[in-house]
Amino acid sequence: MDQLVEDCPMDLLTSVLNGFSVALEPTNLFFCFLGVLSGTLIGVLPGLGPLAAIAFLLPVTFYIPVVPALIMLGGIYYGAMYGGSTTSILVNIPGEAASVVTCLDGYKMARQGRAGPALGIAAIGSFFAGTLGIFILMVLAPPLARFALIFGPPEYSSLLFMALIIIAYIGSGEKIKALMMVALGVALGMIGTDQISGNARFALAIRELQDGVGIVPVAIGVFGISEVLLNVEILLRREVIKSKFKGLLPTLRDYRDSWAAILRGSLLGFFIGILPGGNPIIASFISYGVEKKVSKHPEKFGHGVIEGVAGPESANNSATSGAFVPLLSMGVPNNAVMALMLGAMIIHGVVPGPQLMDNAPQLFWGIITSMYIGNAMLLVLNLPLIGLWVQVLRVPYRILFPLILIFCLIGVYAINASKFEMLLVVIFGVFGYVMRKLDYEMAPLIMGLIIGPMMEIAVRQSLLLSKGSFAIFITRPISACFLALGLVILLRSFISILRGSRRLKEAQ
Amino acid sequence: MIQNLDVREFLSAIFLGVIGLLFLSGAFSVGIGSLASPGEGFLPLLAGGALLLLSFAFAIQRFSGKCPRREVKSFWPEPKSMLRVAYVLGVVLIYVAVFEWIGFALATFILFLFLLKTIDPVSWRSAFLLSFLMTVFGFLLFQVWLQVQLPEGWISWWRIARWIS
Repeated sequence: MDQLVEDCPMDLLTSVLNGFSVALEPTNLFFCFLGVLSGTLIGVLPGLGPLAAIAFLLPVTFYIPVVPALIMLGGIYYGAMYGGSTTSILVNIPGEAASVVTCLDGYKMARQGRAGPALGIAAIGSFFAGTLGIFILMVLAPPLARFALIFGPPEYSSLLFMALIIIAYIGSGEKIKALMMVALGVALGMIGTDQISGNARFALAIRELQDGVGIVPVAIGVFGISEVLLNVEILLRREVIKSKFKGLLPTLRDYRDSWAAILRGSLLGFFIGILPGGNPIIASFISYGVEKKVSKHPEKFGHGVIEGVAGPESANNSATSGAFVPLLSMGVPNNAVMALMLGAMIIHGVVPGPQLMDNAPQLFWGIITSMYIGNAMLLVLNLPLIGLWVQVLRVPYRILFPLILIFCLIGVYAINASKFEMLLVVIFGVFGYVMRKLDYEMAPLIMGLIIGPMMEIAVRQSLLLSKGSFAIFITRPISACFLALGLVILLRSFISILRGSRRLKEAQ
Repeated sequence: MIQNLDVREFLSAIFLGVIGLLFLSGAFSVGIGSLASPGEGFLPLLAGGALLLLSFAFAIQRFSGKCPRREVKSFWPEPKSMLRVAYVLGVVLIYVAVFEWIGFALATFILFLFLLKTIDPVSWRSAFLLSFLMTVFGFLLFQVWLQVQLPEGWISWWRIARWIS
């Protein structure tokens, strides 16, 4: 606890300056640029979300050192949030899910000949939100990491259990389906060598399965391949608004109308991003709702008001910074993208958790400060190069999807030169495709797969410590809090499932 | 009467339930240990058990019709959807099967050519050009930049490229 007091502003400043010295190294700058560039491209291209993109680019990062690898993955994530707004505004097709709400007013603004200010405020709002989010992250992550140092196996068990339950609860689909996906993910995570005894289990005498079901083949399959299969069902045709992008910078009136929305969206987005299950999609929708609520003219929302673009765009960018807080300070991912980042850390041999800040300060502060640099790069990429992104939008999907398929297949082959893993990608691709059509979400599956093995070690260590008594989870206050919260949410899920059935019975 | 959509969901529950059951029985065979000393099967038992129970509850819910009513959609949004999906999957599976045998370059070129000419066809000229460019791009990215050892197969085109460079 004493360490909590030690975080004085001077220490923070020194750490931040060290972080900048790491982030400004030419290699790291290059990969940061590559990340934000690919992120923007992914965000711009409809039918390719950040989750799928990070999944199929994950193998590429194994060939580069860990710091630039994670800087690049982070860049893809927040870059995609920037890029997503472009398609929402110009084509009325969100480049990624977090930009769905931007379509409502952004596209209307474009139809009214105000595409420039809409794109401009989206980029400026995103920059402000990203910057503010990183500032809060710098202040918040270290004390949280110090706090997490007092966590033992019982606290981690309960925290991970709570994270899994919240992920299932907060999803957009039916809760029972999300819970099934979490359970399946945890079960799949059990395949391979037991980390405590060293014995292989559930490997079905397949050599490749003795190392477990890899995060990469599963993620590439359920997000990458299944996305392609869903998209080739209906051939995408897009109409790009033909307007000259003169006057990208918003007018003084636009700034006056949107500054409060940007500020509210940034703060709201960050704190939603921190919560387990909180993601940029939820942040953007809540921000839109808040803006409509506080507006003096809510009836104009949906007809092309700039606050309807500024708020959600700021919120979704800020939420990406917020999501890094639990990952970097406690080693616990709060959404599927962060779970993939955690997977990348583990594969690179980095032990995530509260010790990360002390054991690998270069990595910890390097990633945080690179996000600031990345945000500045994005502003440069998004405003002057908007014409170029519009051209990218015209790339037809029929040319894009074979390229995505090759990235998925060769990407996974590149890790272990294994044909079996390529086959695994296809199997999980078909599984993801069918299950997504039946409205099962894939994010809880990935979360279960990554968190499952971590939870197994923590639970088994806890029971060994307590000589088999479950009381260890409830007699320790922090563990008891996490466990209680998880159980309350689980109970609420079951009540809502039962209520749904009862209401239906009454209606019949 | 079970609706069309519910049959699919019912089957999905059965499928997941079977997986849960497999993990459950597997957990016992590897040994679940005791509470004081949990074995390798301890968490698989919990995960498999949870999956089985949830699938069972979901299957019962779907079978009894005690679930929110939704519009019954066709599984395939367009008449040709199934054909397109089957085609892409077929090509990908063949690619995986022959990739190491005929090599990255030829397999990738043929995969691109097939996909560009069938799903939403482009002209032969564009198909050849794009397939060639994308194969070269893949080669430069994975083999040259990332130093991935891609299978050379029959035609080691990049050996020629290496000699030239």
